[in-house]
Amino acid sequence: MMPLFQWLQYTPLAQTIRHSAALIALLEIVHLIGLTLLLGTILMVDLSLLGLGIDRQPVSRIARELNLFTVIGLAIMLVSGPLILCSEAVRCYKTPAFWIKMALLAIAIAFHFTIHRRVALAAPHSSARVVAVLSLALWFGVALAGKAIAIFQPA
Amino acid sequence: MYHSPAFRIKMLLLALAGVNAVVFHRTVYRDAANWDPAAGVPGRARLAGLLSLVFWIAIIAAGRAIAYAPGYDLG
Repeated sequence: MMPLFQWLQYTPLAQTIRHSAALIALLEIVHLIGLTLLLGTILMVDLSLLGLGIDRQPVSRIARELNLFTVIGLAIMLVSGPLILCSEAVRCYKTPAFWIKMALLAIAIAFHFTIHRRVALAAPHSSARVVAVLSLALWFGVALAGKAIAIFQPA
Repeated sequence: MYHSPAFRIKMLLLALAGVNAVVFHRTVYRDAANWDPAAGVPGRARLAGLLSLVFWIAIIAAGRAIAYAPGYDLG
């Protein structure tokens, strides 16, 4: 898969981003704004599933009303993320944290739109606590692995 | 960190976000139970919401910018 990552890094778009500190900074800021929307809204739903969140509204209503914001946050991240990736694709390819992040992200997205969604909309649900803990572990795992990409440089 | 302009801007923005929240809670929010649903959310509350969004997004941007300041290292 290395040739694909090399090709990605040498596309004109990737090279433009790579050589502009301002563009990289802007993309990272946009990525972080997406993250606050995504993690913030998921945190609100998961805290409610754990019985620690907003208790004046049913969990199912909180989940339903916040869903759009979660999806917008995810969309912002899925646009800005690959643009940051392509500017340093070869380094990411060699960084284990990147692959851990991608694996966790795939699991987190699949989990969120299937089991998490079903349980949150049906809450109160007997699996609410387990689902909330799994959801938080997966999403914060994605975020931590993302930060780790910048910290752990490939050998 | 002390000499980083981005850091100083971030701290200033944090203070402004705090002032905005305190002013909102001490003024227009006190009367929230009596807001007329037909009239929508009062203008001053909308302004507080808009300012809060602007401040917090700017705090994210300034925070990220700290790492781009010349001569920045983890020390």
